[in-house]
Amino acid sequence: MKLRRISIKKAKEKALPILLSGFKKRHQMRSTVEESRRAAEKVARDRQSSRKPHLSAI
Amino acid sequence: MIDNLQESLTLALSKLDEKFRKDPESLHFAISIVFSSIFKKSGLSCIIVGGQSAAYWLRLPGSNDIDFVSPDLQKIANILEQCGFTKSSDLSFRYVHPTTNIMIELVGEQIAIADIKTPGSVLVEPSDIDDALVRSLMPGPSEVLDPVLVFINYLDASSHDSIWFTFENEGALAVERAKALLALYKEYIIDGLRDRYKAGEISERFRDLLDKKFNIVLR
Repeated sequence: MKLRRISIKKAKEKALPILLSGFKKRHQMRSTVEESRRAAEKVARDRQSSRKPHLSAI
Repeated sequence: MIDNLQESLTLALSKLDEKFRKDPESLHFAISIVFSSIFKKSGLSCIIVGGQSAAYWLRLPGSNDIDFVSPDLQKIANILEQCGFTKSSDLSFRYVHPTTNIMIELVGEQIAIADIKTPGSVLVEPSDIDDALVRSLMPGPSEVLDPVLVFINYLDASSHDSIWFTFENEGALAVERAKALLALYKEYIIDGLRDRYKAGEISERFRDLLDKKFNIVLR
């Protein structure tokens, strides 16, 4: 089956709500368990600059 | 080989930093696409894996680091250092650029996900990229992990016997990424899973997980 990257419109309709829902529940991108498995340096970077899930125009 | 690899990477870093400085996640995503393309054009394999591969397929950036897999790790490491990246003091595979704060991790010489023996990646042509600046900085295709493998990589987090077990109360980004990938690429992912199951690359544990958590039955 041929693979094509999904459109921004479909990503907005189908993917964004799934990630936003988790973010709203946690008030952060990753769960505390996920953060505990992540290098401290990376967690610090995440906390400094992470935004809520957003679409990319790239 | 590109005549001046270091110059191309440094120029891309500067231009992308200027455009995406206020959005570090998009900046990391853009750098992953462009660097993979430049390395590949110069004859060095450089596959985008981890969070940036999910960002590509989902169109949702969400990581402040870049993971590359390459059999040319040492060459890439040397070039990154020539471009001003500094090696992390505690981990030899982690590189950070002091001005832009870009973090690149050279995570392995080959794709290593669960029991997968056949690696899978997809070429991303400049025409697949919507942003004009990113597209203009790509001398050719970049290479990104196949969405079936991105899905399998996150699938493990859905298992009660995984190290993520206690995620239940608050969810987990990994599980949400798996669900979102499936929502967007269902047919492709299921076809890919079936092929890999027939090839003996999907463990019974993963097969059960696909059935119980995602209603996907592999035969």
